[in-house]
This record gives sequence, C-alpha cells and structure tokens, in this order.
Amino acid sequence: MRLFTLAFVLFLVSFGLGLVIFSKNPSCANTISCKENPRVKIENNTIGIFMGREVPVPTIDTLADTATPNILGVDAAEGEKHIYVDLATQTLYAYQGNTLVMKTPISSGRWGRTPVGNFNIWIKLRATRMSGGSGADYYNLPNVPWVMYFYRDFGLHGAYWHNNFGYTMSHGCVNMRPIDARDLFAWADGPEKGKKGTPVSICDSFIEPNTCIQKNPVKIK
Amino acid sequence: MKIQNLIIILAFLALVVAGLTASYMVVKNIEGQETQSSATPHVTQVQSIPPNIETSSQISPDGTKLLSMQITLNANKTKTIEFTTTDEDNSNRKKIYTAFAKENETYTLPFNAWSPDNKYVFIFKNGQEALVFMADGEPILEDKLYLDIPKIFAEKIKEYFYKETTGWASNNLLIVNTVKQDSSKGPSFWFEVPSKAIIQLSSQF
Repeated sequence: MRLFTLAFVLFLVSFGLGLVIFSKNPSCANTISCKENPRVKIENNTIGIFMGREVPVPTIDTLADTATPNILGVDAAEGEKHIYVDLATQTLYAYQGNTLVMKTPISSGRWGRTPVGNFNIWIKLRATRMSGGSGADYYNLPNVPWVMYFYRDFGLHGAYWHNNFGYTMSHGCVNMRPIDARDLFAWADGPEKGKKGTPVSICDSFIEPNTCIQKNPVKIK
Repeated sequence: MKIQNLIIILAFLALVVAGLTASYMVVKNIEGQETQSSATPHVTQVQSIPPNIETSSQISPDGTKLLSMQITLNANKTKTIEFTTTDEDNSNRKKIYTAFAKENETYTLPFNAWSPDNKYVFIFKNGQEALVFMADGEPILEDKLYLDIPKIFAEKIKEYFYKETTGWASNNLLIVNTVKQDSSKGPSFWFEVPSKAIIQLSSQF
C-alpha cells in the first residue's frame, strides 16, 4: 500500500514538473538572432533563406524614408493609442482613442507561439536581421523592415518573403504587409522620456472596440 | 538484492517518464486548440463610377503596384471584366485579362493577390477558384495566359479536392487547402508557379 502511495506521488510530481517545463512562456521568437541585442541592421544586396529557399532581399534606402508616410489618424484621431492582435481571426486593430485607424490581416506564430498578454513597444528598429529554426525550418532574413518589439524579441514587423496574411506564418512574431508595417511604425510610439511605448495586446480573440479575450496571458515581472 | 534494486530504479524511471509524457500531451493538446485560426475576409476597396461600372483594386504588399478590376454591366445582363496592373501612381498600365461573364459568375481580388516579388498575381473566379497571371500581362506559359489552379489540381491529385488558395508562401509558391471525399479537412499543398508542381505539406493552413 505504501509503495502504491509513493508511486502515485512520484507520478504527480513528474506530471507537475512536466507542466512547468513544457508550458513555460515562450522566451524567444528568433532562436538564433535573439541571442544578440536588438539593433538596426541594414544589409542590402544580400540573400535571405525561408523554408529552405533563397529569398531576394529588398533594398532599403533610408534616404527615401524622409518622404512623409501616410501616418494613420494624424488629422482626425485623438486619445491614447492601442494595438490589438486577434489571433483567432489573424487581424490587427490599431486604435487612437475610440477611432479605429488601422485594421488589417496579419500572420502570427505557426512554428512558434505568439505570446498572449498585454505589452508595450519597447524598441523600434527601421530594419534588422532575424534568424532561427533548424533543418528545413531554418530561416535567416536580413532587412526585416519596420520592427517594433513588444515582448523580448517578439515584435510587429513587415514580412517581404511571403504574402499569406490572414493565416499563421511566423515563428512567433506578428508579420504584416510591409506597407501596413510602415504606416503602423510611423504612427506607433516607442518608449520616450520615461513614458512606455504604445500598448500592444495580443488576444486569443478580440471584440471591437476594446474587448481582448486572453486565456492564459504572459505575466510580466 | 541487486535485481530488486534494478526493478525499483526501473519503476522509478517509468513513473517519471509517464508523468512527463502525460504533462507534455496535456500541454500540446492545449496549444493545438489555441493555435487554430480561421480565415480572414478579403479586403478590397470598391467604388462605383457610373451606375454600370464598378472598380476595385488591391495594392501589392510593398505598396509599389496596383491590381485593378473594372466590371462593366452590359445591357444583356452579362459582364465584361477587365484586369490591369499599374505602378502605384497609375503609370505603366498593363492589361492582364478580360473576362466575359454571365450574370451569375463572379470575380474578386484576394487580399494576398500579389506574389511577394510582384511577378505574379492571382484572382478569384466564382468564390475560390484561383487563376494565376503574370503581372506584366505576358502569357504565363507559352500557350497559356493563366494557370487555372483548381483545374490543374484536379488533374494531378485524385485523393483530395481543391478547396481554396490562401496566398503566397514565397515568390512562386501558392498555398492550396483541400478537403477529403467526406468533406473533412484535407492536407495543404504548395503549388509551384509556373512549373505546376504540387507538393503536399505536413501541416494544414
């Protein structure tokens, strides 16, 4: 009898330990590049790799960025900015006050989970290199444009290597059409003068205008 | 005595493995339920000019190109539908295709119409039937103006049935979803343009 009790306790301990190990918060979206500190990296005339195939890398001309982009809601909207990502419908919503300034299909995590939770943009990068995965899943993508990290190296950014928005397609980041990412980048704020960056809520599902349903959100310490 | 010790150690390990396996399966099951996603409605800008003409367009992901569709409603209830591509400033117009459609036939522009390198575009006919064109208006093959994805799929794959084309996995790979004979979800495929090669995927989109 004592042996059975011991065996049962041992099973429960292992089960609990397994839950902790396997369900821990995602720590890293890009398993290789996340080991470096995030920084702007513009590498023209290079080749990227995605799903085992070479990808031509768009040239980034930062001088062309001086042209005024279409800044969302610059004339009309007032109030606090907030970005919501609905994982169920693969849609991003950007609000300023009560005004919806952007609604567009996105691609969240397929090969890695996009963390659900409430975050703030903590750094904005015009472009950087993202790499990770292994074997057939290996990817290495220079000049990823309009990057806004909101949790560790999980970010909103443009994706030039696919056009399958509305369906999961990433390793944990939130992929957007480059044109949408550019406009959102121009509109959203990074941290400045002690003020946090624009809030980003990743929702299991979202009901307009501001109901974000999160089953098991990441707890930020 | 030694055998007894060995049995105890093995039992101990078996219990640990069983516990870890059970917790792993529970976590994976939850993750699987969480990561299911549904399709997003296609977004196109539609505006009316005269009462018998409708236009809509879809911008390329990099914002440099436009795919436009102009539908003219004819007197006999048929429709003439013209597809063109232009640069973002409406210059460099290329005629892609002109369709003559019956009253009940429809054409739409998908959100993911453009290939990432802006070389190809696809349009939808009658809901989800994808037709792929060269964006510069040239024939996609020597003898073909466009590729009819459901038709080619039906010729090559007998086990599953074409359901929809969602978008581009890369510059020349379209993602095709299928259904099984019993209408349940089938595997996803890559359709390579222009070689027409079809590759079955291990995951579903």
